[in-house]
Amino acid sequence: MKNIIYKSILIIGMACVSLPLFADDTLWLDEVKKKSCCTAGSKELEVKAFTVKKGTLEESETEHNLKNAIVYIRDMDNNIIKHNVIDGKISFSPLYKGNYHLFLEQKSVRDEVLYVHLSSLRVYNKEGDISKSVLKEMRGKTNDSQYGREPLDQISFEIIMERPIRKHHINCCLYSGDIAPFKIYYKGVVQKDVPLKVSMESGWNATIQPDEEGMTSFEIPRSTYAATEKEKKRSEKMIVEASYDVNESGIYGTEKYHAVHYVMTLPLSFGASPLEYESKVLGFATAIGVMLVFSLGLYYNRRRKRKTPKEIYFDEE
Amino acid sequence: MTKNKFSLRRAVNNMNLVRFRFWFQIVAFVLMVYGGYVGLDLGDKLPTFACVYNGEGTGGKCYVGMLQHDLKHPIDMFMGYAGYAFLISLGMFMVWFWVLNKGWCGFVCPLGTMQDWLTLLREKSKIRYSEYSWAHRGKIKSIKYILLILLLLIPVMIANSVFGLPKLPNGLSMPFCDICPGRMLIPAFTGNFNQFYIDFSSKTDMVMTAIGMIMVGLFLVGSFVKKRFFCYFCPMAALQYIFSKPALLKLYKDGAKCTKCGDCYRACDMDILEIADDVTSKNLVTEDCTLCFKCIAACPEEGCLEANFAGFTIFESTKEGFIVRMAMDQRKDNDER
Repeated sequence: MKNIIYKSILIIGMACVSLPLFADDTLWLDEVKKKSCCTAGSKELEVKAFTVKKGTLEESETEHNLKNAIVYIRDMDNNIIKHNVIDGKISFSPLYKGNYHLFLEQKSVRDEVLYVHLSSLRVYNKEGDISKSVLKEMRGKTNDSQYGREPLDQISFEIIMERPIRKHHINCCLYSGDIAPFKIYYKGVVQKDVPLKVSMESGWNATIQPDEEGMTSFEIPRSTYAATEKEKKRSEKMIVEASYDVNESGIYGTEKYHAVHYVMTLPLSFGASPLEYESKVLGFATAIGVMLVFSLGLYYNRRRKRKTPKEIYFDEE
Repeated sequence: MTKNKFSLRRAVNNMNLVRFRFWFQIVAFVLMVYGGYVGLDLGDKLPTFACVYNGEGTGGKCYVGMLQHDLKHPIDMFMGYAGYAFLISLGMFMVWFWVLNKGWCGFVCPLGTMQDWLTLLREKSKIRYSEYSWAHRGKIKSIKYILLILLLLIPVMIANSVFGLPKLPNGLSMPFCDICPGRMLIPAFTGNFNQFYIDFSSKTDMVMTAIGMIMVGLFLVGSFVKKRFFCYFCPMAALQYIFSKPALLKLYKDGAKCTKCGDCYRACDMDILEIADDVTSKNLVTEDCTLCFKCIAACPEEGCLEANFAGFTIFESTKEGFIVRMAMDQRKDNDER
């Protein structure tokens, strides 16, 4: 009984402290974009580089002090390799063209609570090792689906983005106005009561509750009107985050813990909705206008010429 | 056994080609436009307009889109992985193409099928058809080659400075897809009308998307009044023709048996004059030919025209077949009256 009261006080205390703690302690993966490809044309494989960031999108810094952090890298064939994080940086050379998913896991014990920080990032690799990719290139399907994968066995808690509901013509990317659906998994089971926090570079924040099916969806807000005046096809970052507490005891390394606190982040980027710079009405009007003009032109041309039709006595149904 | 074989050959030669092709095209259309919903994926090097913009529905992807994508690489990158990927893609395109030759256009192409449906609609409406004047036909034929050169050159000029000229804007990265009516019309069959738009984000995008919408209008009216209207301009047809010689499916003619009656020419959707006029060439797959085999079905001469697959005759003109098909047409005419 004493133990239960002790654990309850611990969890409540943790929950109270955790909100400001999350903001500071949130870890997320960020790809280091190269200005130009340095390995193009050479036989060496391109190196993808990532940093582990700490903080919010507005204020973040590279987290150098990561102890025991591991990165799992999953390719499109579901092969998983383990990778180390050195000084907050990760670099690896993907073998194939296509999507790779990175999963960062960082564990630490503080005040008898095991904190498990997780972050996932999808990265697309344009070039691979041609000697290993011939069959994939011949097959012509080197790009796997970006969404709705099975949860990764190696980590217990995961946010997975399902296929978004798109409002426009581009299939590859996320845009404002799209409905982005997520599911949150703990040990492979969908959690139906874990809220999702969303924060955007522009400052928009929200906490979204899942529906009865455990699906958490939100429409990516169109907060970019002012910005699109300057650059119409701009993109913006957002981070979705979920946390989950488990009443579980154990030993991590040499330290005991009585509760586990999972935090997972999923950094994503999205573009300004094409609806902000496209006109469908004008598209239809142009097509219909051309049809009318062309039809009338043909009609009057035929009336003028009164041509004899080509004699066809076969295959004219 | 010999009798059975003979009967099968006779049944094929006497078949109602129009009906066979109509149903074949429907099946191919369903596979190309909706196949993706049941997990069909024939890759992205198909020598036909299976549109990449059709999203989840498409059963495969058109090689022209892939070709433009493959060519948009800086030269140093093209000397590495991108160049190998381009060669592999081109090789796979040729393999696919060599199976059916230009039969991809006559039997599989969704855009070709749409044009045939529009022709059918016109015929049912009893509206007279149009044809291009012979004076302009040479110029019209060259358009597809001009389009092919542009779609090859523009992506290269986006990624590289060619002859010291400034690089072209990125909005031109898929120049043919921007103006291809298939981009708008094929997804429309899955209820997706999102490709009908004009993009005002830049001048290049605005011009290209506006041309695309104009092409849709021209395609719909043009195909209604002129059989296979778009095929005369199709850069895929030009690309295919370059690799046509070693293909397995061929259209052969025995000039010695030809009486130049002109039935084949009158049946041809593409108005190919050589089919009736040329009595010296054996292989009659021309740049505009769609290998629809209507010419074979219309030919009254025994063994004058034949469809040949890897050395085997699969369908040939026969007197009996001609008479049977004439009788079918006659019955149909009588029924309609």
